[in-house]
Amino acid sequence: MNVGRRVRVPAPLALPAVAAAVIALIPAFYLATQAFARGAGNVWDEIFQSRTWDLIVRSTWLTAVVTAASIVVGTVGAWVTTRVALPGRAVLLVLFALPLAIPSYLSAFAWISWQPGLEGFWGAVIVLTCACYPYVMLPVAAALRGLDSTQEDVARSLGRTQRQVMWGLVLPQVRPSITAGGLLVALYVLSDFGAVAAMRYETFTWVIYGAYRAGFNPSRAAILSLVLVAAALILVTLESRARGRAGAVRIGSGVGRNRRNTASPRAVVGAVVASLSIIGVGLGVPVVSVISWLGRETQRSVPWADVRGAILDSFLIGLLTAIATILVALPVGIAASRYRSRFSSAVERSTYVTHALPGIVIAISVVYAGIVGIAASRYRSRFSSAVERSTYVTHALPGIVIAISVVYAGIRLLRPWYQKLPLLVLGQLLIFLPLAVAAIRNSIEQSSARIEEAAKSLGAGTMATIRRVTVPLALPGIGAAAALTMLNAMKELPTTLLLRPTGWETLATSIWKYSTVSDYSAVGPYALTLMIVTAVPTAIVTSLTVLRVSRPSSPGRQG
Amino acid sequence: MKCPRIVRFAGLAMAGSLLVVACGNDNAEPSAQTTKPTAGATITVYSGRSEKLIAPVLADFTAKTGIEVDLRAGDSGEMAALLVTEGDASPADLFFSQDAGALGAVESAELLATLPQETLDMVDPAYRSQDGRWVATSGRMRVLVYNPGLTSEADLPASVDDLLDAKWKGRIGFAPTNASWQSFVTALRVLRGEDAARAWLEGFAANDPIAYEKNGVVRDAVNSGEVAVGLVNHYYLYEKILAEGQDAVKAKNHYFRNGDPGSLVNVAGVGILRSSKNVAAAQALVDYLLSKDGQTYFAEKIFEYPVASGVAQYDELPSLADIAPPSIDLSDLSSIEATQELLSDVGLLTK
Repeated sequence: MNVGRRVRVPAPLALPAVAAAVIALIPAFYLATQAFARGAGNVWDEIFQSRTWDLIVRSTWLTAVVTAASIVVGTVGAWVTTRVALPGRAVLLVLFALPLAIPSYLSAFAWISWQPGLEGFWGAVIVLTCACYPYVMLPVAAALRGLDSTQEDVARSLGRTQRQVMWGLVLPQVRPSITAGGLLVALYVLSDFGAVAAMRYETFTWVIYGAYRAGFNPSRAAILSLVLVAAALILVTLESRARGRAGAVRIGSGVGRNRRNTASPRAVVGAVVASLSIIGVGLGVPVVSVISWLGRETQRSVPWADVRGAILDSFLIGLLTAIATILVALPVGIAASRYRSRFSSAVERSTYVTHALPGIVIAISVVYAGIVGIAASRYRSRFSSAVERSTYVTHALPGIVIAISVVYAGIRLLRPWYQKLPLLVLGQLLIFLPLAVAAIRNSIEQSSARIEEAAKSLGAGTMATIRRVTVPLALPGIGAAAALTMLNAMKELPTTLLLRPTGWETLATSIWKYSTVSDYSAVGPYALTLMIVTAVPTAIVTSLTVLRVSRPSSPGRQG
Repeated sequence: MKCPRIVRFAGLAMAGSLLVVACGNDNAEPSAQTTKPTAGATITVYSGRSEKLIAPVLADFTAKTGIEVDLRAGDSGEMAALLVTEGDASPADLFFSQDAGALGAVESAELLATLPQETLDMVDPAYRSQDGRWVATSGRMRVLVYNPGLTSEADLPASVDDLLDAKWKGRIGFAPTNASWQSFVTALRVLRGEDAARAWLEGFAANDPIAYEKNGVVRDAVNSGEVAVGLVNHYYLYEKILAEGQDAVKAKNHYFRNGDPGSLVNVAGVGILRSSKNVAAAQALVDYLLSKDGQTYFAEKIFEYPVASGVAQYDELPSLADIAPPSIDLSDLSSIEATQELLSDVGLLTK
């Protein structure tokens, strides 16, 4: 196991990691300032209402069910695409991942316009599970693909049943991937408003939006958001417990054996049924629904110039956000997976906080980002894990709360960049950093730390090892993190609305613009374009996360 | 770097001009009349009104005055929260709100400037701030949208009190988080007192009304027959007819009359930010929105009630005099948080 080396995080990694943590904590700082402006008594009054508790219960229940469902669907999807002898498994995997490209507010509306009776808890579960299971499926598929099947063969030869091998050997090895994906799912469900609003299932985010929209009361919204911060901290802590001590356990490459994929009729039939269900529910319903809106567009010509402009603006914002996010996430990811210590964990968690700071921070982060990621993955300590966790907190906050935090910090500290690209990128970076950190970390943890030890034993310094061994090994994960950030930034709405440069229209803001006046035939072209455009980074994420994972086997035909 | 590229690709005249402004150039004003001292200025408008609704009237304003408008559209409450968070540093010159409540919130944060008396005098005192810091630009009325296939016209209620009758059990749609619904409940509190408002809401809740996300969804649910009637604003029906054609729309509007709270008139309105450095240009926009041209746009294109310059309402609508909406001080409608508390107490805001 490459875990638990109690090493001091090297300073060149620690500094950017700490900087990231500081930035990621800005929204939390803003929220605390706003919340306690009228005294702690006011905070307790707002939080300790029976309505608040009812909503916390409803949100908790929804989060638990969606997370469990995403873990089941995601794990089944990963198993089907890596362990069953089906033709075209790579294509299947991309199709399974495509719901990532569909914003939850859009798929919720698609479901309701098809099946109004679904409104409520189970409708919200379906929409959110479809939006979220790829966050479990991709890392689990990557882990399954990277496992050394020799171990399974040995276990079988020693008399273990297939089931015993699955529960006793395979699952423990993919458990960190499952819990990491599950954490992202849970945080997302806590923060979601679009899907639960369309599905009329009242959750905690309803009162936060109500405080802004009907109460005109940012400080009440801030107080209520503290509850989500607390929930995020609890979830992050639970996850690091549940992740357990299991790490990637394969030692060295080249000694593995070609895996035989299951070809038993029962498994194949089950896999086909599962595949059709996943694709039909996650992809079929929203796509068909949006195409039916497009059909109504025949009376009017589609404003292609507007659509093209929206694609460009979305693309540019997505690209810049992806670059900035990777630069910040990399050092955190590395520190959390390789330098586990109190120091590196604190750094990792604090970087989640630092994402509220503007361009200066981004510039600094760009330089040090690689360092933080290394610290988090290779220098595991309480510090690096705290830093990593701090970056997750913002993921549980609704976009509007992040946007207002960035407004608060930006209008005072970064006036020249206010409502310009750098601040918008910062806002988006704060939201999507955890996705990038998780992807990078997952990728580094799947490469053996022994290779880095070998590099050091051959005389390479710490930073040279990171630069020449750790980062190159993690490149597919870094690429996947970039594509994941990009596709999410392209469909993001609340932050874009408040922080975009004047006159910019993304695909998401165009969809919003027409749906607020209920003009769904005008929404159609933008919605379909958004799904098509974001399908490209989705395919890239899939390919880099799973298909590029080098199998431990020697070259040969794959089942 | 980004600006020329976007200008090249984005065909939109407006996006192009806005981006030129964003680049820091100032040579983008049209060559039309430039007689006013404010021509060539650019003002930043934060709008709670949808860009789709107001972009045409703003484009007319720019064509006639040479004043460019940078528009940032969002939800009224979020825009008010944005303005309150920005404080004196706000880049906004003018706040165009969907409702009086958000204007009142920004006014009570002491961020709005006093408007000149001539501007205020254009509008009925009922539709402007008591302190003269914001003024209505158009009005909308609460109505009961109904599906003629599910209820006969004779059965329609004369008052919101009739909606408490058991025959409406489970047949009424409403949008609990919608600002206009909450304004109606606020009006009920103001007009009848807290106890009577609570009693009405408890009766309403006991009738198992169906909650929807927003007014447009309520209207669609009525039109599709999911519920028989819905409490919405008057223009949602005409929006749907405009988008989908008269044939696709079964639903009709029913009006409450004689001062019934059910026909509350709420307004969209504007205020100029105290921190604005373009007050003259912002004032020109306020004047334009209240002019005959501006008012005609609101009446004819988006089916709202005009509030100034003697412009008449859209043909299909009854006149305000005919309806006799309840008389109420719109600034009293800003106590929406108290309304939310009451709604949550009686179990109507969250279930």
